[in-house]
Amino acid sequence: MADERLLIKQAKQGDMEAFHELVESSKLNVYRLAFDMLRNRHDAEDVSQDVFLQAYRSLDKFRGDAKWSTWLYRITVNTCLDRNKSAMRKALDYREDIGSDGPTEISRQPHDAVLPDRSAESTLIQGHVERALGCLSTQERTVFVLRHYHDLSLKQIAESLSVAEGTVKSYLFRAVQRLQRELAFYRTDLGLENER
Amino acid sequence: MTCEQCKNLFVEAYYKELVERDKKEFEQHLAGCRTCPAAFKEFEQTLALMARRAPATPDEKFSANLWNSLKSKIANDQAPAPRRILNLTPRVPKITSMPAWAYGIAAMLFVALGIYLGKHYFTGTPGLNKERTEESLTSAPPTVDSLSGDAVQKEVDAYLDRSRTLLLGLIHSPDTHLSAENFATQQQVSRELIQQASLIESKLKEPDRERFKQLIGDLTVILRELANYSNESGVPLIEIVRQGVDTKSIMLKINLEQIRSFGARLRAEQAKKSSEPKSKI
Repeated sequence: MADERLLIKQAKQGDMEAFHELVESSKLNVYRLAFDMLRNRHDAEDVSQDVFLQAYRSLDKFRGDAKWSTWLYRITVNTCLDRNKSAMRKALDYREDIGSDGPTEISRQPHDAVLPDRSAESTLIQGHVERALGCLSTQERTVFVLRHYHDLSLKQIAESLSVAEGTVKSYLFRAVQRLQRELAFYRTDLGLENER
Repeated sequence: MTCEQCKNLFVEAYYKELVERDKKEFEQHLAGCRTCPAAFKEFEQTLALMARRAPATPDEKFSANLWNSLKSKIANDQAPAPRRILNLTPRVPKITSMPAWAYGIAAMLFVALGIYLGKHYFTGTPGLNKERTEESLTSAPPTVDSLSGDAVQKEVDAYLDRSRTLLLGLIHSPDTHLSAENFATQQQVSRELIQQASLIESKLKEPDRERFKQLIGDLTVILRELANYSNESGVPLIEIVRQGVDTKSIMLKINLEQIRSFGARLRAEQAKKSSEPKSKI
């Protein structure tokens, strides 16, 4: 792939091929983040399209201070929130909702989302992990997914979500604590007891 | 470093985001603490387990179609607004597009017209109006000798004023049939006006007086019907007059001519004033 900055510059000048390259290089990550947040394949696909469309419309506003991927993640998170505004927007108010660490209405629902493809040997682990993820509140899950599966640093997550780095750290710590509790029942199944 | 402070650094420690100073203190605490190493190990195990989650993979169809779908949406964004192919709505000039000064002039014209009409039709007491009407109707027409220059215009104005008074009296009459005395007076006045009109017409030779000639011709038609009216026709006189006045828009034409005449007199007076030599100081 050509230099990302160069592609962005060309795309800003109306070069559709350059923008196509940018889409191809980041579509998988955008889709995965959308899926991790919404836990639904169709919604994730719709959101992915919306994200790139918004990115194209807002190319002029991209100053290059943040990475292209960070900027896209920010759009993705916001688009996902807009999609589930009624249930998620309320839950994902990082500035006010420090005291709330319970799972959201969405995450309390039985996990009937289509799970990602997986090999037969990891079916058991996948099931437990997905269920544990489903028990996180939306804010915890978003932060956890961005850090753990999309490799954004705490600082980048804070930038993406427009919150303080300390807030991100706090949510992440609580997310891991909750995951520990959720997975404690399956420790034997998961072979964790032996490692302890 | 306390155990609580140590636990607060678990996240950064696991993701290797500890700053150098914190990293040293963290490692020192773990080395000397009995509980924190186990807690950190459990923390690591949980995250390691979560890392075994297989990432979501989109459908091949989605991956293949994303760009095409996106491209068409972007094209729709950039397409100009659809043009109206056939507009059957008649084009009506927008009143709102008129400049503000046009509204001002229109308002002033309306006010001037209102003042003029009010002054001529609605002022004074009924008794005075009656007196004025009778005076107007019975006043003798000016002689031909007196008509010269501005005198022609004055004669025209007097003729129009007298004709208008006569016609207004008839068309606004509450009775369909006139009394014999009133009818005789109206016929007498009509004949005088017809004579006056023929005198004026002979003086109106300038091309810009054609408008007056046209109006006088229309008025004469009505006045002749009035002068030659006999009850044998069966049609009330007032109806004949009303119809003639309405059909030829006589009142509107008289009003317009009087407004023009008034304007012309004003201009003439101003011109006269401006041409007078200024008094010496």
